[in-house]
Formats: sequence, structure tokens, C-alpha cells
Amino acid sequence: MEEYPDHLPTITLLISQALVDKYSEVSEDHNPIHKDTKAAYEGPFGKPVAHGMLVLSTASQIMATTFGKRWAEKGSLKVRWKSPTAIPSNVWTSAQLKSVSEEQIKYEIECKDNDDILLFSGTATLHLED
Amino acid sequence: MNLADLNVGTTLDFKLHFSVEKISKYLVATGDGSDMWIRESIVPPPLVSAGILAELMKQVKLPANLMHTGQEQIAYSAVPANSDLLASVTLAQYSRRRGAIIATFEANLVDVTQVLLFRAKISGLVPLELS
Repeated sequence: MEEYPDHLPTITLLISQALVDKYSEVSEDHNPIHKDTKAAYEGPFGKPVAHGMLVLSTASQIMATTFGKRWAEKGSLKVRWKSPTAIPSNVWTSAQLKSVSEEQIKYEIECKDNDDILLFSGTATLHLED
Repeated sequence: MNLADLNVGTTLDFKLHFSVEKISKYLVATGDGSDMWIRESIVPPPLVSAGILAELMKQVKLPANLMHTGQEQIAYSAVPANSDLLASVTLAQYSRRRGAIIATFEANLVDVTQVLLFRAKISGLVPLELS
């Protein structure tokens, strides 16, 4: 059986307002809570926050960096957001090997910010069978 | 239409298309330096989910205080760039619990020959005290 690393290389990303603005454009999600607006401060998080899907992109990056195209072909991801991501924030996404079988390999994924606040957690699975 | 107007089981169908230019912009916007997506002409899985969400938001006015709480996605095959794709998004759950509305959408993405490429499950929560 192929060997898989216990830990995948950590992905770090500075969630700046400039990056969030670019993400708003490409995702077509222009919700004002993602900017320094009154709506953001009056919204559910009480401050401007990044798109969850922007932060989540780091989980896919971490798997694609190691597994390449196989991740796009046979990968699955299941996460729950735990805390909103303030703007700006440095986020760190890590993956630790959870299980290996003939059918799949599974990593536990965590994303934290500079204050060690957990932003999301979940599992990333690479399915090995056709 | 508004989220509250939908019944559980309602399915919305729409077309999707991811250009290489869109993928390039997405990679810049997420700090993803990998050249694989462009070289292989395939769509990064989170962009597929984001594209489905964007089209859903064009069809359904989601509450401003909706919090995206969970995301699942399963790739059955790489999603090709520059291809016509069809998405079906179903409201799988809409319920009140612990002072909030919980809504879950399930999406299937197929190519023009109806081959299943990708599935996603998008969960959100609307606090009732703010709604």
C-alpha cells in the first residue's frame, strides 16, 4: 500500500480586504458583511468577515498540493465553520492523517487564525477506488 | 423568490460554465499558486461550490444574516473548464431549531451527457432574533 504523510504542508493565507474584494468579484458574492460597512457591524458577526468559501479554499489547496489532479477527481471535503474570519487575518490550515484503507485516505483538517481561534474543522478524503 | 418561499424538496436547475479566465481570477483571489488547474484545464473544487452558490443566490434571495455553517463536496470526476454543465440544487432541509432556521441545499452537477461530476451540500443558519 502506498505511504501517505502524517502531516501535509501547512497552507497560510493573509485574508486582507484586497483579497476579499477579489474574491467578492470572482464569487459574485457582494454581501456588504464582507466590507467595512454599517451592514457588517450590524450583521450577525458584528464586524466585517471574510467569505467562508474563501477561507475554505485553503483546505482544497492543502490536498491538491500533495495529491494533485487526484484531488480534483476523487476528493471529498466535509467541514463545519466554527468562527468567522475577521479582516484582516492570517489563517493557517493544517492536515493530519486520520485513517488509511484500501478504499480511501482521510485527513483531519483544521484552520486557525493568528489568535489560535479555530475557524473551521473537518475531514478531507481521497477516494482510491474507481 | 425568497428562501422562505421554497418548500423542502424544491429543485432549481441552472447552467454553469467555468472559463479558464474565471479560474485564473479565482486562483489570484484565493492565493492559490498552483499551475495545475490551468495546465489541466480543470476547475478547483471550491470554485465549483462557489459557482453553484452564486447561481443559487441569483435565483433565491437568501437572508442577509444567513450564516454559512457547513460545506460538503464530493468530486466524482474532475470538473472541466470551458464546458457546459448543469446543476440541480434541492432544498433538503428547512426547519426551526434552538432559535434559528436551519437550511440545507444539496447540489448535483452533471455534464451535458448527464454524467455526475460533483456533489455539494451547503448548510446555513439564520438566527431568528435577528431575522
